[in-house]
Amino acid sequence: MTVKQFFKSKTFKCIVVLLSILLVCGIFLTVMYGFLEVSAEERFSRAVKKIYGHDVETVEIENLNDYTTKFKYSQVLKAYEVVDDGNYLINVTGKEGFGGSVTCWIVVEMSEDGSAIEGIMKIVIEKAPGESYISKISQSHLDQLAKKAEYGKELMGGFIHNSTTKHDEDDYVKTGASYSMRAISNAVNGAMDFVAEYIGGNA
Amino acid sequence: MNKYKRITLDGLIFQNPTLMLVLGTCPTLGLISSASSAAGMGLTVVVILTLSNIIISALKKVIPNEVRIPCYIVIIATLVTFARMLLEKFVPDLYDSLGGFLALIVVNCIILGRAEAFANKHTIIESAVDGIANGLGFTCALTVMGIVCEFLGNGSIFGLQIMSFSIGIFSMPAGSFMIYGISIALFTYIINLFEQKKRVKENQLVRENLLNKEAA
Repeated sequence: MTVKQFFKSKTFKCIVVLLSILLVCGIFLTVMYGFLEVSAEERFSRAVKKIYGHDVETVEIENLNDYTTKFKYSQVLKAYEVVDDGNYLINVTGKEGFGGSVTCWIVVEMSEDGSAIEGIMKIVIEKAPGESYISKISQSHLDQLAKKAEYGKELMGGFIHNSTTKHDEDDYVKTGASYSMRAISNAVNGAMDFVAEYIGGNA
Repeated sequence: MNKYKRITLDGLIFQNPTLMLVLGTCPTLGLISSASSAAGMGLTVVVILTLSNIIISALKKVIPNEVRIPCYIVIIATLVTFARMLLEKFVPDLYDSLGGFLALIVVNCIILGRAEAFANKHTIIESAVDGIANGLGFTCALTVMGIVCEFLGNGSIFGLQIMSFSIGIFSMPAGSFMIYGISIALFTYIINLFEQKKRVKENQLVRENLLNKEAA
């Protein structure tokens, strides 16, 4: 086949049409992304509104890497001290989910003098890209998980390891998303571990 | 019968993608445990299916037959990505509840099936009507099954708690599978009954015409 024949052939037409459609679609999506991108500030504001129902004043904790945590199945992405109530708002990724990891916003509740961890006030899922059953985990499941969380007792897949009750197991199984629950539990453990390290191991 | 009326009735009832053609089973089983997720998924599919049918119908003379499937996939993937951006920006709760199933619309049999079976052979308006009808057929089926599953599995409808009693299995895909099977059986039975009655009526008319002719 000569070059001239190639340019007149159906193969060439197919390549041109496919590439043209790809190009148009690519440009369209790039332009749209510019308009519809959800910024980090917007995500943070949404998370805060979901947790508190209104905006709160926060102070961002910098140099997160200075506070090395013992818990290896989570990664703290951002951390804030909530000025209004003295608690800590932690953006943390829990590993070992079904299709990867689950990123949550977790409020670590502190004692009145701020020297000890009281528990977990709220858990809100931010994103879980690989978890197909994440929608099965309702906010009430997360609220129950938050109630169970206690510093010093590691959460395992939605219930406290070695101290499960029938009620705990029911909650864990009922969601049908056991691996996602494990990732969320890892996120909770990681958040508490981080705060304990941040306040100087006095938790 | 009017052409558009036939397309609409086919998409909604006689060729219902979920209950008659058993297409789009993956999101159906994954999402009908919650009525609001099911309705949200259905409405997203209506928009994507209608737009993809319109675009594919408009480009049917430009796209060579040999590369039509890759071209359809690119167009559908673009529309799905755009829908994801819109949902994440403006309806984040729905975006979260649909999870991975939203991205899976790209390979949804209904959308690819309608593009291949209908949109590349018909006009833009007919394709648009087909897209809306099939999308609404999918939405109605998913929402009704979602209501049943959510009521039995959680004792609520659209998140509104109605009773404290619930049967756990119906909030899981296994329960969804049962409801899906029962729905298909019921729907097919009703359609068969309707068609049987229609046939009897038609035969009666033919017989009456013949008797009238003989009498004349």
